[in-house]
Amino acid sequence: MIDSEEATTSEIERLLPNEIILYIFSFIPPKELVSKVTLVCHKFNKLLENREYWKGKIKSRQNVHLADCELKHSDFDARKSYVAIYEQKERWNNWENQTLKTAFGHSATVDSVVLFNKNSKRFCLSGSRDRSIRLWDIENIERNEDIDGNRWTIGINDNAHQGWIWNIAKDRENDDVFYTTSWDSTVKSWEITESTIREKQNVRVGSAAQCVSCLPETNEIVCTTFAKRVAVIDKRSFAISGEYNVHKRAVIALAVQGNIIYTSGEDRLLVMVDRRNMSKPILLNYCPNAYKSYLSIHNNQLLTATSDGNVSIFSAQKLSILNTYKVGIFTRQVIIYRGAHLVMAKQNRGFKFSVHTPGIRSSPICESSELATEPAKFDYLPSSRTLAIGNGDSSIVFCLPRGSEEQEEEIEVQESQENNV
Amino acid sequence: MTDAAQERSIKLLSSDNETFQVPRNVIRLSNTINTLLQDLGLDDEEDAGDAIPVQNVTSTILKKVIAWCQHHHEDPVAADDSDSREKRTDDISSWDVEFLKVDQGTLFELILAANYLDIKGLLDVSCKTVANMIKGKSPEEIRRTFNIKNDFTPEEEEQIRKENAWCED
Repeated sequence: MIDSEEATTSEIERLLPNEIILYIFSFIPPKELVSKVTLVCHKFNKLLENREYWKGKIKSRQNVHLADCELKHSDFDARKSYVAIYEQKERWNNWENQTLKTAFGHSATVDSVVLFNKNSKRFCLSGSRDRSIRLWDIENIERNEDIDGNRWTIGINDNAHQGWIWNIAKDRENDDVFYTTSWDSTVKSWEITESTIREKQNVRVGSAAQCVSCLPETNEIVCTTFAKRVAVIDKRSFAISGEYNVHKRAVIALAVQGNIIYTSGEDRLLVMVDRRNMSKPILLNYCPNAYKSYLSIHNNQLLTATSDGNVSIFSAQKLSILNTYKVGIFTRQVIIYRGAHLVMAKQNRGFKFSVHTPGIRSSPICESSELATEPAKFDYLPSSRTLAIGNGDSSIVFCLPRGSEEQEEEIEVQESQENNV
Repeated sequence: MTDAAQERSIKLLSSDNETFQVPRNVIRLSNTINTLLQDLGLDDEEDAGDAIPVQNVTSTILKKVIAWCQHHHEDPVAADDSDSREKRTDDISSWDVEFLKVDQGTLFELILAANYLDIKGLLDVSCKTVANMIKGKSPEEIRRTFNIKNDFTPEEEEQIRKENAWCED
C-alpha cells in the first residue's frame, strides 16, 4: 500500500522537508507564490496558507514592525502585507529607474490628482486653479506623444467651478462618479460620460471648500471648509445632512475610516468624530508645535504630515502617536498603504518625494532627486504602480514603472558588457 | 593557517560506508564538520584519525558535495545576506549551472546534504536552481515539472483562486 502511494508522490514532496521547501520558496517573488504556487497541490497550499510564516517574513526579511492596531484590524492579512511591502520595495528600488512623462493642459497649479482603474484601464482625474477638470488616459501617455489619435486628455470640463478647485474624491461604488471642492464655496458631484464630464449636483457649504471624502458606511460624503466647518452631504439629495464646528480655524485635512471622521485644522487640532454622534468629538489632539497638513488612513493607522517636516503615525482608535520621523522642513502630503508610506516634503531648497517602509519603525526605501518644479498634490495607485504629481507650474508628472521589455533589454546589455569584460 | 594545516586532510564516511579523504581547507565550507572537529578537539591533531560518519549522505552525493567544495573553497567569504534586499536567482555561476545539471532526485539529495552539512553556498545555489524551475510557470506547468499530482477538487481550486484574486491586479 505504502509503496504504491510513494510511487505516485513526486520526489520534491517525498524527499524535501517543509522547511527546505519554504527556503526554496523564499527565492520566488511572493506574488507568484500566492497566485500560482499555492495552486499546485495541498502540501504547497498549506505551507503558504500559514499566516505565521508570512508574519515572520515581514519581520525577518523586510525588517518591518507593524503596529498592533494594524495587526488587530479585521482587514489585516499577513500575506497581503508581505506582498505589498515586497512590491513597493521593487517598485521604488531606484527613483531613476522609471519613465517620467510630463503632461500639459492646465494653465494653473494642479491642486488635485486622483488615479483610478476602470475596466482594467488606467486613468487620472485632475483639478486645477484654472477651474477646469481633466480626465487623462494613462495608457495613451505611456504609449506615445500627445498627438492626434493618441490624445492624453480624453475628457475635459473647462468651467467646472467659479474658483480654484482644491480636491477631488472618487465615489466608492460608481466608477464614473466623483466629487470636487472649490474656492467658490461649492461641492459638486460629476459623472464621466462617453463624451464629457457632466455636472450632476452641487451644494453651497458657506465658505471655500477644501477636502472631500466618501463615508463608506452611509450614503454620504464629507467635506471641510476654510470657515471651520466640517459638513456631511447626502449623496442622493446633495443637501447637508450633518456638520460639526469644533475647529477654530480653516480645516485643511481629512480622513475617513468607517463611520469615524478625522480632521485637522490650522488651529493645530486633530479631531476625531463619529458620524452617528457629531455633537461631541470622540477625541482631540492638540500639537503646539505644528499643524497637520495632510491625513491618510489605513487599517487603524492614521498617518499625518506635519508642518514642521515630520511624519507621525497614530493609532486611529486612541489618537496616540506610535512613531514620528523627520523628512524635511515642511511635510506637504502623506499617503499610507499596506506596503509603504509615501511622502512629499520640502527640504532646505526644494521638494522631494520619498517612500518609507510601513509600521512603527519606518526606514527609507527610496528618495527622489529634488523635484524640478514645486509639487501641489500626488496620488499613487499600487495596482498600476503609477505615481502622478500635480504641480505648481500647471503640469502633471506621471512616474511610470519601466515596462518589463525595457528592463529585459537593459539586463541583456549588462550581460553582454559583462561578457566583454 | 600554516601550509601544514592546509594540507591536512579529513576522512569522511558516507552512509554506504565509502571513505573519502578531503583536504581540511576544502571541507571548511561545511559548518557542521567544522563544529564537529572543534567540539571533538580534533582540529589540532596531525593525524586524520577515524573517518567521520556523514549519515544520510550516500557516496554518490558526498562525492558531488566534495567536488563542489573543491571548486569553491577559495571563493571570498560571501557578505552576510541579512539585509532586506530581495534574493536573486539569476546570479548562479556558469560552473554551478553545469554542476547542477542533474536529475531532480540528485538535486534534492544535494540540497539535503548541503542542509545537513550546513554548506550555505551549496544550499543556496541548489535551492535557487529549484526556484528557477518554479518561477514564471503556471500551476499546471509546475506540477508537470515536478511530477506533482493535482490533489485539489475543481471547487477547492476555484476557492483558492477566489481568495487570492487580490494578488492578480
